[in-house]
Amino acid sequence: MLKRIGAYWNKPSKAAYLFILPSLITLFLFAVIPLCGSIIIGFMDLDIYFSVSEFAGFNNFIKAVNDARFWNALKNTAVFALVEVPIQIIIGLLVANAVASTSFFIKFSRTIFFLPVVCSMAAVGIMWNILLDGTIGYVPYVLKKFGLEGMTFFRDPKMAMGTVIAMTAWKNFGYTMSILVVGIQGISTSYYEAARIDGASKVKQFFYITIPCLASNLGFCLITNLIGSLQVFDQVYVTTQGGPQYKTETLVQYIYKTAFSHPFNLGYASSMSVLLLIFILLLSFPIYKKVFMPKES
Amino acid sequence: MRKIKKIMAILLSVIMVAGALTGCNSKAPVSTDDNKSNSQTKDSDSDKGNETNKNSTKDSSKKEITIQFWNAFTGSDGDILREIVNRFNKENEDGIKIEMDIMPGSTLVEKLAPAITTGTAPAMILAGNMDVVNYSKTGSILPMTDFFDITEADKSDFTAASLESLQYDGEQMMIPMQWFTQYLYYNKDLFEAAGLDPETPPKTWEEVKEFAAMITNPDKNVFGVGLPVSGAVPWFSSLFLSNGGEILDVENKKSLLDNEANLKSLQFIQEIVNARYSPKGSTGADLDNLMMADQLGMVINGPWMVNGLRENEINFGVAPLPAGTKGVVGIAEVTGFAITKGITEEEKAAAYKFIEYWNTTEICKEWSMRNGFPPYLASVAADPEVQADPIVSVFSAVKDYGQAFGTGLASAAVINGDALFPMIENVVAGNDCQEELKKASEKIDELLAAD
Repeated sequence: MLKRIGAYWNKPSKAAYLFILPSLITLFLFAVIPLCGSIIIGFMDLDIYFSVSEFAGFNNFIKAVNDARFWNALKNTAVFALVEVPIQIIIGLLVANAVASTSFFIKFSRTIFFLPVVCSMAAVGIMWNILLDGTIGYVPYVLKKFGLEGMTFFRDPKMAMGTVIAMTAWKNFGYTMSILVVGIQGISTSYYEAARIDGASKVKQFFYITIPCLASNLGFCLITNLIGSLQVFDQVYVTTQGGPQYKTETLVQYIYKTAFSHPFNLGYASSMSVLLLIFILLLSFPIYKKVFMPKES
Repeated sequence: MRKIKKIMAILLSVIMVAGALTGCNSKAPVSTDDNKSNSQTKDSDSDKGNETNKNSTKDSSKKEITIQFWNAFTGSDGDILREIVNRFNKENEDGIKIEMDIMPGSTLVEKLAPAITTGTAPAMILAGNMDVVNYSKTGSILPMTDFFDITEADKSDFTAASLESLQYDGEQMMIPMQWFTQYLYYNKDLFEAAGLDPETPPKTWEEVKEFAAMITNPDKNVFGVGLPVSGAVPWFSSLFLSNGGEILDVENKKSLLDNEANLKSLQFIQEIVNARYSPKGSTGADLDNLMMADQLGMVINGPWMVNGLRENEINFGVAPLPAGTKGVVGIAEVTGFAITKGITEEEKAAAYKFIEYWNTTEICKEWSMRNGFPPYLASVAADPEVQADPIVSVFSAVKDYGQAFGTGLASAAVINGDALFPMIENVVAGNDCQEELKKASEKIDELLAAD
């Protein structure tokens, strides 16, 4: 009996399921169940103490649609994603193109560029918070020497979102770079040789060989970064807490505040999570379709 | 060879799965084992060797018990609290161990609510009087009315106001741990550099503005006064009330914020910021840093600032809050011990023992003398040493001008966080004062309607 079971699962086609089983279980426990839970709770009037629990129908969703703070958070999230993702990909692509060779110095440079990725966002946030502090920060001090006085970065309603975006792009571009470096190293050198013989400049080689050959890598970076950006939370939590004047409050930040501080409204927070899920699907699915589903000829 | 590989792979998988499952266990390590030496963590004790010896001398018939204690004493006063807790752990004869976890106030609020729901809450917490109604209404904390019957603590020694502010629905929901209001801290060196007498702090808000103008020195990045927009004590409420501007009608659950006196106070704040006597948009923590760096002339804060200033060797003075047109008013706050829903009788008894220990004349006096907190026990207030302390004597002004805020409201703390602080932030950023006053007043009405 045991032998028969062993033989059945030893086939490559069946063994593959065993290998992905731990991931599937983890996904089911920590993604599928909470997701279903969120959707159900989104239709309930439920606080974190479970002292109130009633079916609320679509009330929470209607409340979100009429909530100015929800729309402000959604707008901030969209601005963050639409500005941060292109910046990160462009910087990542340019740097990847510059550090794709394998000399010692280039490898060392890659490590340096990748360092912020392995640092925790909390540590990075605290570091930039101190560096950019309007009164004791080093950056405003240097800028003041050049006549740029009164720059308060995270504390300035006009600059706060830009500063959060710049800090996030600085921290994360190494991730995009590492994926694109692998992609660039996989491009056959014969393309570049042929282009050189035909007299193509380095810029033309970059636009007509490197970028088209990296389409799937760029697509992957675009989707993962976009989804990550739409869920932006930790950098805002550490640096601005959504301020000043709610100018950096993102949707996840608002959801978190609604659920885990006053009014501890799990139902409303969950309904906003569901709306965020729909928003992410609407934005990422067309990109996924375009990049990873080739048109039938 | 293949078999060995297989066995190794299986073993590794088992270890990994076991590790993952162990990591998932978030249950607070509360126990009542007889042998607890292997579960000591964090602050419970630094000297395990001594502890083992001590345990062996204790009455072996007493059962050891460990309870969790969460609070937000992230400042230097937390070090003193930690010291007192550790001393209690070593000295108590009942085998009680307190495991203390210090975290920022906002983190405590965010962690406590799910912990209570999932049954992983600590047995004891420290919370403010503005949290009493909210925690009591949701059943997060349990009544402690029997505290004075069970323990030997003397109820008559407590200042009546400190006990009353921690009551809800006729029950004593928390037992006082400290009480305080806000005070004006000033940097004596900067006063001197500006040609001011370092022994004469400002007595009115107008003087604060005048002195701030003299102290401010942009070349040296020195500011006259700090007016924080978040993460600070509600200093602006003191300004409003001292100028005769009301904030809340608690009885009718209505906002009184939108009035002429408060408008003038807001314009006063804006004038100071526009003149650059105060840094724009700074948080309480930003201003603490400035104060510790000798770059801030004056700031309003609670007693916990004393230790930080002493440690950083700042030549500072403390004065009562400045007076407005109607006198001096400060928001009085009481921090209290609370026990949480779901604790066992043994845990409750252990928590009561520690709270009783804290509320002895000896410990309360130590807390006052080392931290500067004003005494709430009559026996400590009458102590000649306490009365002679220059800082404690200033801080004791809480009994003269301290006024409770939002007593009986569940939304008292939220009104500060969601209506008043955002209003100050917007005014400091340059928005129209009247418009901000109206917006904040509407927000307060909205919060009170849901109270």
